[in-house]
Amino acid sequence: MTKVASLVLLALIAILLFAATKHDEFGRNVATCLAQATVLSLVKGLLVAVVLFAIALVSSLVSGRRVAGGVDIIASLIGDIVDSVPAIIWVLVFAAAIAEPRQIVPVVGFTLVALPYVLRIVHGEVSRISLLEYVQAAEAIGATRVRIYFTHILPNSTEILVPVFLQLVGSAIALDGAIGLLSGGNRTDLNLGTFLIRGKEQFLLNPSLLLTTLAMYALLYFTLDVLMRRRGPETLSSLIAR
Amino acid sequence: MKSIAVKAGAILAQVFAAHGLAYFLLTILPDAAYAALGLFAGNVEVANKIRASGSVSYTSVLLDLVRSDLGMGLNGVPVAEQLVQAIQSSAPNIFMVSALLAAGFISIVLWGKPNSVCEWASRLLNFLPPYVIVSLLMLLSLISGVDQLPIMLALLVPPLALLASQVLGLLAVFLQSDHVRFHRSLGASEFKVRQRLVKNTALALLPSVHSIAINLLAALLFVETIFNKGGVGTLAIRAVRTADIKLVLGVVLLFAAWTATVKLLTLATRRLAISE
Repeated sequence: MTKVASLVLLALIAILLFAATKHDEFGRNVATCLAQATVLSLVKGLLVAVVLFAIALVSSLVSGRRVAGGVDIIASLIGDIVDSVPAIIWVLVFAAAIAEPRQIVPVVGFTLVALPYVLRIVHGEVSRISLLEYVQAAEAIGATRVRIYFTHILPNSTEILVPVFLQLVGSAIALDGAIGLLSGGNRTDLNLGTFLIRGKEQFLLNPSLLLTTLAMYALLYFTLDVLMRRRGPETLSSLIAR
Repeated sequence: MKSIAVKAGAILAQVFAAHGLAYFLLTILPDAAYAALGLFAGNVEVANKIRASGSVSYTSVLLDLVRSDLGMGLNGVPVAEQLVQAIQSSAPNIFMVSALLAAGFISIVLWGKPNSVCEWASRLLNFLPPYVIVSLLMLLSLISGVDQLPIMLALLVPPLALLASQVLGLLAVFLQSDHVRFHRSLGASEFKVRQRLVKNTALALLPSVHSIAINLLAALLFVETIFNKGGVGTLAIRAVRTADIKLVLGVVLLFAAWTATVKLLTLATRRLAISE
């Protein structure tokens, strides 16, 4: 872990040192802007992904392991209705509903549109793991539902859920860039999404902006991937051994 | 039988609820919402169209829908005709992407190596925002002059990256499981062992595949707009931008039908697998 942390720190210093000598079209130092944008984007990305997963995990814990339960049917119906309305209409609705601050409109819109997606995958994975033998064994020895959920189900669903979590963090970080791509947005905003779009627009004149942003993006991915690296799979024998 | 009736009822409720919700949302939206999104900066003509559409009651729209009449778009072309044309443009891409996703999935299960460069690359691609990939493909399209392939790749790469990282993660677990070790001890080849894992992996990934299939249509909204190609995505964006309520409702109906079809297919697959 120390080696990985040192590597990440070295890479971060290298990127910032490279960017420190550059200035963007507004005369701002690229290293300072990039550092601020990375922190803000990471907080936003993690917040969106954590909120989405918290809702999905709590609802899957509440709904129990029966796939055809009443909660599941209602949640799935609401999810399907949300999915049936194109995302652009939801963005319009949130633009109307949230007067200020404007910056949270895309975040709220993205959270709502992505919720059925996350719910479906989390519920599906939880119900799959719930039927495996080590969960049934834990039930047989009298473990509570909450204990089984946090000790056996969640740790063994990382193969499916971690990629979805990383995808959500990545997409939420870059959300402003997607809006910039479709309808303009504000180019002075400090976030990695806007930096990516600006970097793409100015690639021929100033390639360093896109390259440093992509390097920062890769570094974020590497850090999150290491932090969320999976442990060994659980089997009935490993449960007995424990 | 009761279960099928409940599911059919839920699907019908979903289609009609989505249709009604879209009508309600569009008629209550103030002009400021459109202007805030920068769609047409408060264009007076479009704002008047929205107000005019509010005068058409939902009951009449619903009755028309029951009679299979989707009405006439603002451009004077029947909504059904516009939808059919859009589907004809987008269907080949959707079909090809689905086939390539299925082929990619099977190849990864049969030959993919967990904890390899392939897994690392798929996880990185999965983390990268889709528009970075789309932008790179646009560049490719400009350089090569081939315009259909980048659209397909833009639709294919993000879901394939997610599927690949999930499949490789699952394979790491499945290849160490007791039944695989048992097969190996019986002398089964690596290919044979993996062949038997295809079904298990597909079942484990069913919720992800369900979500990916639904998102394919949503992805068309961005991909077709960015590449400036006709199809369901551009039709949806045009319908909202011109405040063509009947066309929007037609598009919502298409999205709802797609969502319901995908759900039905997923349920049938799960039921079939469980019965086996």
